[in-house]
Amino acid sequence: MTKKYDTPLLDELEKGPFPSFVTEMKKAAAKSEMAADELGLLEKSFRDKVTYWKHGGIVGVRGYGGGVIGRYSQLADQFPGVAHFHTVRVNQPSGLFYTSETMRFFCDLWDRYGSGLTNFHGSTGDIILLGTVTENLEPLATVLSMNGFDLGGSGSAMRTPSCCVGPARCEWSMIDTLDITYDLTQEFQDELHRPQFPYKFKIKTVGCPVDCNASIARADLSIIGTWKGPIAIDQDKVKDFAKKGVNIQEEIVNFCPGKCITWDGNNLAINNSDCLHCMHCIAKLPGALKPTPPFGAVMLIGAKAPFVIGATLSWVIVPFMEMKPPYEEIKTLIRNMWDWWNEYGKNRERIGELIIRRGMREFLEVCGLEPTPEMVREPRNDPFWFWKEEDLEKKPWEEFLK
Amino acid sequence: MEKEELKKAIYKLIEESAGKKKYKQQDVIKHFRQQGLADAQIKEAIRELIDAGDLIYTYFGGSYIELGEKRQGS
Amino acid sequence: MPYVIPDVVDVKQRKTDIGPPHYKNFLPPVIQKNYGDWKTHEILSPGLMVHIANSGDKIWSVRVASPRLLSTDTLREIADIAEKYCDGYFRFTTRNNIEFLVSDESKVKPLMDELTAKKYMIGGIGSRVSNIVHTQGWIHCHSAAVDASALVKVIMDEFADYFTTKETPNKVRFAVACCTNMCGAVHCSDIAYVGIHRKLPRIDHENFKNLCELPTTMASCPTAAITPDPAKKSIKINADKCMYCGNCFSVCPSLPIADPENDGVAIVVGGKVGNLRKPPMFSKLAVAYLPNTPPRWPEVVKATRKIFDAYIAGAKKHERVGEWIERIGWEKFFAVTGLPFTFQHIDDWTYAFKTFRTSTQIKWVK
Repeated sequence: MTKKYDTPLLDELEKGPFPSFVTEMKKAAAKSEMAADELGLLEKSFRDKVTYWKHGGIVGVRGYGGGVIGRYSQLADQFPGVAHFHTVRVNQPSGLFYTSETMRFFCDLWDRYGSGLTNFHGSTGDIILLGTVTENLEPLATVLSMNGFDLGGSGSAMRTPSCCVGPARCEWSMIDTLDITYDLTQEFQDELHRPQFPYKFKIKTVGCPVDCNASIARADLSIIGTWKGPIAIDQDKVKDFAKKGVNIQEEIVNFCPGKCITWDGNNLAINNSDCLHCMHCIAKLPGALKPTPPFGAVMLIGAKAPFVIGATLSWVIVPFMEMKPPYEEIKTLIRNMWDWWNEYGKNRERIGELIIRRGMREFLEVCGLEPTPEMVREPRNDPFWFWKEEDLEKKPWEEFLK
Repeated sequence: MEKEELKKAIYKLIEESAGKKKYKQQDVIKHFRQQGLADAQIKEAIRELIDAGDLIYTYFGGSYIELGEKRQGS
Repeated sequence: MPYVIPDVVDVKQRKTDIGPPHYKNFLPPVIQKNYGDWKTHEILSPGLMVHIANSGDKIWSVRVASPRLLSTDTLREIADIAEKYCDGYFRFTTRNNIEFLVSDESKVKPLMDELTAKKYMIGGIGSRVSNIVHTQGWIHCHSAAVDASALVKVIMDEFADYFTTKETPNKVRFAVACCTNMCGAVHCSDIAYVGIHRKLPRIDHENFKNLCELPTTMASCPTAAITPDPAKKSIKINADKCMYCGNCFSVCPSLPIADPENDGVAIVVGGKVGNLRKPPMFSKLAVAYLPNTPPRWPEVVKATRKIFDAYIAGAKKHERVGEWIERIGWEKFFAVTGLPFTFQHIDDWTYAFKTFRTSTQIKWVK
């Protein structure tokens, strides 16, 4: 029998239709002293309206600098089961696909070495195993590796890359998000496991501009699938949607940000040269419209949460890149930007912050990228800017005024 | 500089700065680069020290390299 | 592949840098066969969709909600259900839902029946509320200003019928971040909650020099409110500049900021990440503060209801919350929701001027 705590406040969160995390904690608490004390500790937080976790400590496995987050309770005397309650991040399979057999392995593993509580998944995409003690870390990592799994990233490292469901089960995926994610993860194992950067670096790959993995909002490098060919139209299917009650004019034409669609009640026409590739018409008329090749990806840089300079969305650095194995172009680009960031970045400075501090020009030059209008919403609007000596020698007007 | 000599020098740098200045991996690389060593050579020496457990990566709002003995319970 | 957990583990056997297993090991045969060759899909009911390949093959996905925090007992139950109906194949979505992947149409209904009988919440596909992305909260984080799982639970309970049956004008994406570090993508969600502080960090001068680095601590402050205090070998905080973000505590444990009576929840609205129609948008401040009232935060639920109902009533089909607000204007948003507009709503940080209204285009709402 594990220790039992009265949890009148948490019990209130077992009511209602949505599955209860409290019920999950109680299930784990019935088998694990750690989970039992975690439940008791949480009830106390609810009563006192404050967290009782200490800042992380130094724990990990030999050779790695990440994958384990040290966690200790402030109230170890009262709740000894959570004196140590470390988190283990395990690199998830691309696309978050599992088999029952694999899931049972994780259950057996975690019942043996941890609290029995997990997250499927953490925000970055890792499998999160919540609550273990320091002496279990080496055997846990060993058993994981014997069964083909490895730890994920933490600290000032490349974080575990993640992606959307992609071509595994989506007709809109214009790049192989699962393969790109797997390939980059394998390519950069050293950078994932040994934190050698100024701060974290996240890579998220999605198959189309719908962005089902929020890549543009939370990845330092956002790889977003897109297309260059015209949108193929199956007129019969469009008419079917109209017959089924879709108001094509209101719902499709009027919402088009490129104002490039017309509909005469019988025929849908798209002026592809004005298309912004936003996906609205394609997503709202599934099966009737589809993107056509060439397929590739937009590369964007710099998304992050607010600290320190304010939240940023990723911005375009390569408007279109073909994404074919072995993905050498993107790998070279990543290595170049890392070298620059490592050289000039301050502690805790994300790559986007460094670009803002030192300027896009320097970043683009380091990456060997030419400036293009696709990189900006609009050109600058103040009348002073940098000139380099080499710029003064150039006479671009002679070319464009010919 | 021989690799074993470099490893000793890196360990000494971290040991002597303990409690005063925290070094990130790139700080160590920059430090020894001034002595004419290649980045890759320094990185390899750090890797061996970490693999042996003499040095470890630590995290406190950013990742650093510190003495292996700081790791609790190992 | 067969998994092994030996009784005695020799840690010298640990292999490093092997990375994750290849994803193909986990894909159902019908997906392996039709990988990258899907033609279309159809949403058959709020928790069921079918994907149709160019070959004519089909795969059915049944989606259920999950609290993300899962016990091994529940995971085993999910594994058993998947084995019974899906040859063992299932996946998770990026919003923490579980999707059972059914290759045999005759097993779809029995699967859904069993899930219903076992009280799983089926739904979340299409224009409705999906599951809530969130952070660790008081369950496992040192900087949480509010619990996260509890907010998810009470919001999802309140809007459960919009997950299981009812439609919304477009997807409504909720998110919870338990502090301003925002480990979830809260800054680009339709309706999101962020735990905030409202009082200065308390400086533990005694321990500062042992636990914290001066340059790192100063650099962590977004408003440059932290300066050295050489006499104490510690720091000073300029109370006029501090915005209580708590980032200094992230790098220095001697600056605790948690305060049971003054911490609470802010609500931000109108963000999105997709490129459909309008470009991705940040969420903006709707409610600057609501108190921490565990276990069910009724004030937060009620305020959300006001925003949600106004959106349902006012938005055109396909408009996300942010697109609706942009169309009607912020003065109208505050009028139709009845939320108060306060000093806190007017930006006074770095790029504040970019948010001021530099035109005479105004809607009269009262």
